Amino acid sequence: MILVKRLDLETGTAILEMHSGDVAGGEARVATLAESARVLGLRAVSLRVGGAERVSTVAAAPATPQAVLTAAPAAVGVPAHPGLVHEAAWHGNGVRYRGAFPHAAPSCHQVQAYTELVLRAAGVPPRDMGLVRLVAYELCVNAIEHGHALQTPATIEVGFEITAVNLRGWVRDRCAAFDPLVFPSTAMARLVDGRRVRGYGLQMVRRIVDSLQHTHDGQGNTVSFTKEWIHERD
Amino acid sequence: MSATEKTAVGAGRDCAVVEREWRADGTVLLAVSGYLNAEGSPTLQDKLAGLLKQGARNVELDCSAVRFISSVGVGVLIVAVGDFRGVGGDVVVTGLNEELRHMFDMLELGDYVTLR
Repeated sequence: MILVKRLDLETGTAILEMHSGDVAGGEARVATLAESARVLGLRAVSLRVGGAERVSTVAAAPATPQAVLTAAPAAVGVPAHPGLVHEAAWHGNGVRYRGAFPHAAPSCHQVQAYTELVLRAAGVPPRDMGLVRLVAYELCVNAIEHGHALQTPATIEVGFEITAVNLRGWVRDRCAAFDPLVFPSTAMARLVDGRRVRGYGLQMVRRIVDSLQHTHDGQGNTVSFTKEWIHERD
Repeated sequence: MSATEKTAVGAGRDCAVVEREWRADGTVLLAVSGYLNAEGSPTLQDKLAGLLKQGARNVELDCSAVRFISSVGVGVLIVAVGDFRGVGGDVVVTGLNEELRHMFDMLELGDYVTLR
């Protein structure tokens, strides 16, 4: 497992820390993070192995991840995300990630990239990762489209606790109470019959997750979910 | 028309659609790449609507370079399928990566969209 220890958007650098084991395997996995890092505006990735004493930057040969990550942002003109705050920590039997973004529509695209980055780093298989990425994106869209911010600047937070057994995720805003789950679930077939482009999001989320709940603590809404792994993790 | 790549439309930040081939039987091959999310999906939606107006009857969407499909992207596909089936054609989605294919299978979207 690789922990995304720090995303430093001032320097455009991600520091990934390997909990144990195989440096070669870790570097191979770093290579798969390139596109998510591009969306987040990163320019370089450092791989930290076995703690703070041994820091190894991925070699900058043309075919290496570092070369990809360095070249991509300039090539496509993607600016670094202005407000992302990232935290990661080991907890219990797994790892907890939390990223906070500005409460604005473009953040939804960043949230799905962030989700891919941390879940891929954590060794979540592509099939499960794709489903969680969709859930995080849809809940973020829902919160931003329907949320009335209680403070300025408002943030939206996405977080995951990942263990070998399951994932618990949440999307938290700083908005007035709004419970998306009170709306009745519309069958997919009925949505299709209505020839609608929008309106599928929550229905899709409900079909993917194992549990889904909403709370409001006076400062914001939290929509949390759990997802049992259906494929073996690395 | 030529079987070679000839028309690029909507090469925006999130989604690009490239028209690869327009066959004599009215089948159009499109290559889609990027993100079919709220920002990117209208590019595909506009292209498909334009093709329908121009007389296309079947569309084959090569999605091998698509990285993400949100609910809006799914909605665009479903509406397009309805439109093309309404004129006796269809929209066929090909090349989904493992991650997206699993999502389509789990959500049983193959009931509404032809996958190959």
